[in-house]
Amino acid sequence: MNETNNLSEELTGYFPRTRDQLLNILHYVQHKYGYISKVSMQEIGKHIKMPVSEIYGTVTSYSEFKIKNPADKQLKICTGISCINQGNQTLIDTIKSNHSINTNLFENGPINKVAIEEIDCGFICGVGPMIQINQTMHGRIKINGLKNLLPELFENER
Amino acid sequence: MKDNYTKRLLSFNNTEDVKALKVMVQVGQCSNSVGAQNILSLLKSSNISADLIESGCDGLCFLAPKVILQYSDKTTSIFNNVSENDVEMISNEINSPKKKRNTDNLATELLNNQTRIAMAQCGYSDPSNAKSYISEGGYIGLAKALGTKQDEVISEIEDSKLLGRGGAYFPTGLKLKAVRKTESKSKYVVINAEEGEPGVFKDRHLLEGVPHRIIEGAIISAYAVNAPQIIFYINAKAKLSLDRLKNAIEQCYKLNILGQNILGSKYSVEADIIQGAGGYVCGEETTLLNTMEGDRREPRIKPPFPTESGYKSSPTLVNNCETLSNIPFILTNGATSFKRIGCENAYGTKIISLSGDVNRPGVFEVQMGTSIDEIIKIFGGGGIGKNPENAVSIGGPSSGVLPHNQLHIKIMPGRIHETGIMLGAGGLVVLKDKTNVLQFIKNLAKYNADESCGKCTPCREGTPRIVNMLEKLKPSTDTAAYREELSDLAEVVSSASLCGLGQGAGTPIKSFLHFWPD
Repeated sequence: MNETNNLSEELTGYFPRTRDQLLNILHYVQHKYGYISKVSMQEIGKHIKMPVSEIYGTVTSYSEFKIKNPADKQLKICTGISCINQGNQTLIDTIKSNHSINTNLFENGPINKVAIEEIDCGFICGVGPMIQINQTMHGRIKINGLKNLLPELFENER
Repeated sequence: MKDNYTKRLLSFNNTEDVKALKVMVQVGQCSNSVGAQNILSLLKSSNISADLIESGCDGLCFLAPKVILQYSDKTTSIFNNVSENDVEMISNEINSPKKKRNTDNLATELLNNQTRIAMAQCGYSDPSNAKSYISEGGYIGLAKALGTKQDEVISEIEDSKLLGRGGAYFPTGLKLKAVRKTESKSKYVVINAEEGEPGVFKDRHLLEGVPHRIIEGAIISAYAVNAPQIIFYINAKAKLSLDRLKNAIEQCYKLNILGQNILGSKYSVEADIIQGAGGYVCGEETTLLNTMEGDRREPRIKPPFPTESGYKSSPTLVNNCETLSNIPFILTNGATSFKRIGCENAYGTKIISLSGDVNRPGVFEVQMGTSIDEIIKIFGGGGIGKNPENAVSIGGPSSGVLPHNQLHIKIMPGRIHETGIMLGAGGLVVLKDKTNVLQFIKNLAKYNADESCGKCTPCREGTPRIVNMLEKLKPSTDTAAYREELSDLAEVVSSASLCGLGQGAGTPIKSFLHFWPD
């Protein structure tokens, strides 16, 4: 992880060396590298003088922060109380029962290049049900339309 | 003195570069997911002779994406559910307007049926332009406040009997008073825009549509308690809200509405933003403070309350976006006008996020005391399905589900049914029929178990036990004794947990057992 070696120096230019900056720093690091590695945590610890164990505690406490390198393609399915009721449950069941898609994706996170994640809520319930492909949210998802979309998403994966 | 602030404010108004026609494309996080950004860029690239404004959404989500043409005589043409194919037709209309306006009666009717205080102008003004907010009467409340004594500002808000709109409905005036009287070198005002409750999306509409109203409310309350620092805490997923708020704050600094000696007064205030990182429990005020300090998302033990010892152990005023959006109205129009809205002991309005199996999902601001039935029928256009026997989940995972024969209940702060069902943050999810209810309750229980932070035992151990017991709830096990055990468990979790998440986690179970005895 060469790129994170100078992280603590880099942070000096942007963030004061206080503990209350931790969340902002974590967002910065995740935005830059896609996830927060152990090396990054050590570097952050140097910058704000906080034990790595405590930083690890904070990072793993929040659902937005990732400690593993994310997959290239991400399919996030909203399981909020509104979407799950309007068809996303059927969608998840379809994906899980589809033999061409490894159900391990749900349990083990990113394998290969596609990750499927069930997210708590996308907070766009007014145009639900929603799914998110990479950074783009798609509202008013019709199940049939998405079934057509899935093979494309998982192409070249098997 | 009072006149000086207002004069200074109005001097920012420049009416020179206003074109005859304003074209507003309602772009929000929700309308973006159905192509609003695409429509905006298509309109940008087509040759039109008008001001193109990227506004927020007006809350009528079922009509998104929406384009509004506002003519110089203030009449409007509204285009709903715009697709790429409609762009040409709209740009023709812009360049050579027809005599007859394309007024959409449904949209206008739904907007007129609402009482919009917090959401006034939301979707019909430019969120990235402080001057246009001022020209609509914005920041006048702040100018008035700066001309009055701090205690008088607090007593005006106290007189209005405004209650916190985040879900707890604590009197805002009392909170302000408590922070005001605590002696300390530093004080903070924290704006809670975490809104991590599934099924609620009102604060996003406010942040995207009228960020300046929230800022105005925040500055007024910061002035009232004499706090030099405002911190906005924004949900991690609300990227657009974050951008729009950042932009709005920058403008306020330029116009000296924030910064040193604001609007020429003796009062100085700074504003900062912290982005959250997910988690329902972070909306709880003490958890929010822990998160802001870089700790794990766990609640603190109360007392001390944040009003005495909050962010960095200083007295801290934590308020929800919607609460703050009501404050400018109270200061501008007075507490008496505010009390004309709503009903006895529950003045004002509540923003309802309506979604699920309903014809017209969206965000609607209605007066306190409106019945749930009215909201679903008048605004939501009724439930979906042949059998209109809908159940309604109200208040999200910390509250419960009401069956169709209970929908005459009126929305009120706090408990609205003896089983502990509360209005909460105002999320209404309509369920198609009763067969879904058990599955729905299971989902809520599972959600609460996942979100439990693990700090206190009743919630950490109790919520997974509830999930287990619900999974095993089948006709064979469904005996009176089993139900009683489940009910006892829910009661223990509710009464022994530390924070709101655990205290509310038993309510869905209790409401289910109460309303669906079979």
